[in-house]
Amino acid sequence: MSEAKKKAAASAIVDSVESLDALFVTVRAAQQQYASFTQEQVDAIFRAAALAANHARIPLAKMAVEETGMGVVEDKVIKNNYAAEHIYNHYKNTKTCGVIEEDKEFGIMKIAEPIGIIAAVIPTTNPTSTAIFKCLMALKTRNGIIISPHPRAKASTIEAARIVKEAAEKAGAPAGLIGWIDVPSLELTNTVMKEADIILATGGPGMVKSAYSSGTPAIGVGAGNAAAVIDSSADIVNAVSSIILSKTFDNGMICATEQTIIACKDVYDAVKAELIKRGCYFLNDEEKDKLRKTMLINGALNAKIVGQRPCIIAKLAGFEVPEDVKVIIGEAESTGVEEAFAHEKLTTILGMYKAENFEDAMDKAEQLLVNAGGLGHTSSLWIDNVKERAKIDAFAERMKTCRILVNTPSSLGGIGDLYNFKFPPSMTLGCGSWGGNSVSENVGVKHLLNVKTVAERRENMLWFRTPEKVYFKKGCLPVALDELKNVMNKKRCFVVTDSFLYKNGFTKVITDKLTEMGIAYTVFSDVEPDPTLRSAQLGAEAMRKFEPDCIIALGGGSAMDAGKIMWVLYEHPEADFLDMAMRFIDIRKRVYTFPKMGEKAYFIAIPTSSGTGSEVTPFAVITDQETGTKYPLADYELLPDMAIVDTDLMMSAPKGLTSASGYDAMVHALEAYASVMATDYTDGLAIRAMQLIFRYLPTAYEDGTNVKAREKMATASTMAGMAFANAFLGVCHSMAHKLGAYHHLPHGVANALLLTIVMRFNACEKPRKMGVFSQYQYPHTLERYVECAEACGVTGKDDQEIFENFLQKLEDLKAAVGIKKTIKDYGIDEKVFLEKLDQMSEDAFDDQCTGANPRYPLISEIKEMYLEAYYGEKK
Amino acid sequence: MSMQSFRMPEKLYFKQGCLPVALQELVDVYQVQRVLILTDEVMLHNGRLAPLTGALYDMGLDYAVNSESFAADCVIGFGFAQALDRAAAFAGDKPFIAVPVSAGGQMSIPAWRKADMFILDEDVCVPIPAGEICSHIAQTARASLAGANVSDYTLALSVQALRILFDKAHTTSALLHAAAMAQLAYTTARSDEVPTDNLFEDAAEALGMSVTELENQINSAVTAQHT
Ligand SMILES: NC(=O)c1ccc[n+]([C@@H]2O[C@H](COP(=O)([O-])OP(=O)(O)OC[C@H]3O[C@@H](n4cnc5c(N)ncnc54)[C@H](O)[C@@H]3O)[C@@H](O)[C@H]2O)c1
Ligand SMILES: [Fe+2]
Repeated sequence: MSEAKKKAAASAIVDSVESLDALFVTVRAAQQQYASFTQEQVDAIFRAAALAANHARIPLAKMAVEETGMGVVEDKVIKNNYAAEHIYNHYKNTKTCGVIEEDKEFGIMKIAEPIGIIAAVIPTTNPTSTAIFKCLMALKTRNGIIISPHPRAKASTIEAARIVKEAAEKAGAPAGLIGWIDVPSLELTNTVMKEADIILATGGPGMVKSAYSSGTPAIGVGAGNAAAVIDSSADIVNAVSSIILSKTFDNGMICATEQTIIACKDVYDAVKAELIKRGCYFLNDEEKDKLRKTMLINGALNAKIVGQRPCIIAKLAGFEVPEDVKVIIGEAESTGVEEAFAHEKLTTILGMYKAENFEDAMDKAEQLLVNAGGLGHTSSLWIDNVKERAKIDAFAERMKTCRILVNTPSSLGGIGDLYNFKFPPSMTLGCGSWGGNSVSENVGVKHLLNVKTVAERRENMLWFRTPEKVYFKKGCLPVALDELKNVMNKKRCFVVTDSFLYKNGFTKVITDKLTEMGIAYTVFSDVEPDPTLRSAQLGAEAMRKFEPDCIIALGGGSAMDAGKIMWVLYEHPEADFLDMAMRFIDIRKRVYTFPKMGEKAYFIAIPTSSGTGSEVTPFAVITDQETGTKYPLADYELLPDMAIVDTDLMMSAPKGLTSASGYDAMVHALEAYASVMATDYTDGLAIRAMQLIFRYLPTAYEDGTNVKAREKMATASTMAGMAFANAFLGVCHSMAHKLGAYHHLPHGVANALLLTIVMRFNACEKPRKMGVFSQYQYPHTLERYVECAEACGVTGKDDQEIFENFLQKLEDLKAAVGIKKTIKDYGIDEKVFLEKLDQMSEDAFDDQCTGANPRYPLISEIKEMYLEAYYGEKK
Repeated sequence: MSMQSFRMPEKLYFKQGCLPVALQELVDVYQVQRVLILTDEVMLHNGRLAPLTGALYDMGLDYAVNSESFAADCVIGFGFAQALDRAAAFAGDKPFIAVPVSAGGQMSIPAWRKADMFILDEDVCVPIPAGEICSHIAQTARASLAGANVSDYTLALSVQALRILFDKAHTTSALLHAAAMAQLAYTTARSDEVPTDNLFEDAAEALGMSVTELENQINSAVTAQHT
């Protein structure tokens, strides 16, 4: 279209689909230009337009009343002023252009973009103020707007739009940004809704419905039907005058206006007397019936009574009331759909109900919403807001309305900013899904913008945590315990261990020392291997009786884990065990907030085997004796306060325990190193642990009396524990947990049988799925394993060869410490193994250790690995 | 020697931008309301305090800076070694949070020893030339390998620090962590007693080099800044 044609189109009368199409072209061109305006330019235009509209508030009010024959000039002046001035003040500093929010630290930025062209449907009840409001909203958000006026209010609506348009253009807005239909018709309204980019529809339910059915995204708002509940505690004088003020405002045409009063029985008469005193008229039965017939015609509101004064309404109904009556009131009992007084009236008529009590008042308010309309819109409550908080809460919970106003005239209160200054001002009030709307708030600029979020990749915060104190060196136990008396002044100590260790005198060093220091103690020695919840509960019970201020857990993983669980149950008897056992990926984002530990007792862990690392980890594994399910608990609250690693306690460990737990420590180090959550701190510890295990595990296994080998293994196991306490484990442990549980293999052995197969799986440079963690950028597990290999003295001509040699070295270590090659070698029946395989694979996939593995496994891949570990070759 | 120990701050948090995230624990875990910040005089004027005070403000906590009469229920030391030394001494039984700005250089040893939470955020650190950081790592690691309380724990940390230092492709951010690890090792390993053990040989072996090679590499890193 040529410039000249465009101009002609812009000034042409819009009365047909063709002229409307031409208008769209003009508005769109203007909007595209406007879309690049800066916040500063936009704000200047917004300001100029608001000023102009405010300036014209009186002529516009007069015009609206004259044209529609509804409402009150003075009140419409206030509405126009509100739509211009309050809206301006509320949004003048709001950012709506370009970057509206930025947080560099968290790497997030929000960018506001206009939507395009708004189709604005304007009602007869508030023609000029709604037009001003929507045009200003469009200007502030860099949108174009085409107004579809109501036929009965078109002149005043268009005039309001024209004033805003001219002021905006004078202030620099592109010409033609604001347009309207001159001769409205259903066809044109439907066309404008179809062609626009978003619909902002205010009006009756029929119109809102057609907006939502147009196929264009729509913000439509529903009908109101506010009931004002007056509680016995209310300030009646204030309530009555406020309701009258609200109800008479523009002759009751704001959608949030009170339509009924529900007063509690004990104050009903007082409310009624006050209403009469302040100029309300109570209808007799005959008048009520006449009015009912006039109000609703075939169930629809009679447009003639809308926005009228009582004397005029009475005349229409065929009776008389004095000129100065403010509101006509019909007392009613039924809250059903057939009762006209129950409906929205948009005029100076109120229905009034008597409630037995507050509960009944809420029932009635609810019935009115459901039966007579207004769901999602507004509710009002008059009450003593200091003493009756509980009732306010109950009311807020019960009402399915998006505005719940307390001690506030609902018409002026509902549109916001007048009686509550945090409540955004709007002439378009969303009613949520209850009202069939897409918005449940007062519609504002944010609903007219497309907001883009630019989220940059950020890495998670990392951490390194260990017990506050770790003591080690052969013979350190009694020395370390000195602190209990000297520094901590502990009085009562509870020792947890298993029966074997107790019977063989392992606890004697501790109890002798406690006696020497004069600390009272008791020993609980009923921990079984793979401790059950039942035994932990028994222990916690004993703790509650003994009331220790210090707990010492002595033993292998089983006793230390049992001690940790008893500690939780002792400190927090109310804690829900199943909640705590929830799976996690990031320990700090757990759904369950772990109870805070250490308020009652200080926790010391003393290992007697070298492997689990439990003395320095925030984990504990516990078995439910009923179902056999193993629950891994994980939270840094479970981290012991002190760990004492004394080699004296490990000298007698039998060969099987030494090899299985020693190999477990190797797997801890390797999985922590390959984990997606590995850090430099965990890497350093893990590598040292591997070096020590390769060097000293065979000796510790062959010659248990070799102090240096035992000592180095103890250190290696604790260091590997520190590494996986912070970097977590991987799928080898996931699979070992389930293999151990299904086929009763020792934990360390189960791990050893799977390790090299899992490593080969992880080392793949083209994994089907890679692990998810922000720090983990690309599959590099092969490189990581090669780093370990080289630190352990493995050589080769390239990475692949070094890796293969490393796997061989790990297999050699296995053989050297008497661990067999395959699962089959441990005498597990092939048929039984295959029967359980599918379930075992699925369970292993779901194990919490899977989350930190560098390669995200498929269940089928886990199954393949199990098969390979069973037969010793790929199947 | 009948007993050795490895001491760590209860919580060490790190990674660029972690300060506000870690501080969230003040509310979530420690439940404090009034925070005393002890910092160096220069910090009052150079704007470096803003990320800290901004985070406290966002969490709705009351705070005061360098005003020891403020009735605080938590102490944050923010700054160079001197301010952190002072904060560590002042904290008493209150939760003590250390936020050094000198990662890569000399950090407060009392802060490492006493902090409940130690926060290493590169965003708040004062930039130090890479050569200086390298030299610092080399010196600290060497000192910690010869400390009286050396152990496999401190060895693991100082060797890892050296591993990063010797890696030609290291980033500045990796160097900062290496420096922190070396410091951590040194803080534990160092003791006023005369060294009884020397883990130089073990360290060399762990790094896959000879003792002479290790010494040479350390020496050249120490002096690198002067060339
Ligand atoms: N919390 C963790 O981080 C973690 C890590 C790995 C494993 N675990 C758990 O630890 C448990 C396995 O622990 P474990 O391997 O230490 O076995 P364990 O604690 O069950 O001990 C095995 C047996 O060895 C005996 N024993 C222990 N020390 C001995 C010694 N010095 N001399 C002679 N006998 C000794 C015990 O009395 C017991 O009969 C499993 O329940 C496993 O789930 C926990
Ligand atoms: Fe394990």
